[in-house]
Amino acid sequence: MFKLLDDEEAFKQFVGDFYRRSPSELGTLINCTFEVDDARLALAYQTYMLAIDTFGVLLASENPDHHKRAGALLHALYKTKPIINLSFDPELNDVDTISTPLGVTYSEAENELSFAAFYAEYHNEMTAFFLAFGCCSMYEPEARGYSMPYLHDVCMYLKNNEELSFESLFMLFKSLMH
Amino acid sequence: MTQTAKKGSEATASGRNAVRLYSNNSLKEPVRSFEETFSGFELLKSHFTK
Repeated sequence: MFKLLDDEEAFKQFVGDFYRRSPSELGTLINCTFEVDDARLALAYQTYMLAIDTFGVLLASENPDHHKRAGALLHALYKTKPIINLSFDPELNDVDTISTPLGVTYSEAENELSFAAFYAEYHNEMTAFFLAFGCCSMYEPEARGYSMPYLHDVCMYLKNNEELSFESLFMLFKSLMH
Repeated sequence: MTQTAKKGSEATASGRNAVRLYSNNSLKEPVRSFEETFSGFELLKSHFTK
């Protein structure tokens, strides 16, 4: 997988396909449309390869392992945000009202995480993490997963910190898989 | 004696260089397919539809 991503066309194809099919992966959870921007995918590839090449200099083998490559991939996608022009049908406010569980007042639901609100806020961050985590897990001897609170915290961490380095995201995967 | 001293000096220099590198490893072969890995989408579906 990671060897495949060293090739620009393969990178744009695989990453673009993953992003484009994400609404269908979510099934009936949400009805939305968006675009995956080709220019941002091309920039993501350049950003990814710069990190891979930098790791190569900082590593005797010159061949970064899957934790480093996953960190580089997450970094490239969180910086470039390939999903643009997201819109909901119906509009988000209506979706939120509809998705309030039966028997729960609006004020009670106010602090509950609704999927529509989560997706509206973190669509780029969560999709980038899903992809990088999946690629990383392919190389782990033991199958790995994560919880919803962990996903929420990762998304917020990425959203609130715009200048994270690829090295810090490498450490995220190294620690998570340790 | 001279050779031993040289060896020691090279080892020290080499170790000094290694400190500024990540611990050495490299990319291995995958052990499962991408489709077999944990799916964040499935996590979302199970969390938000229970």
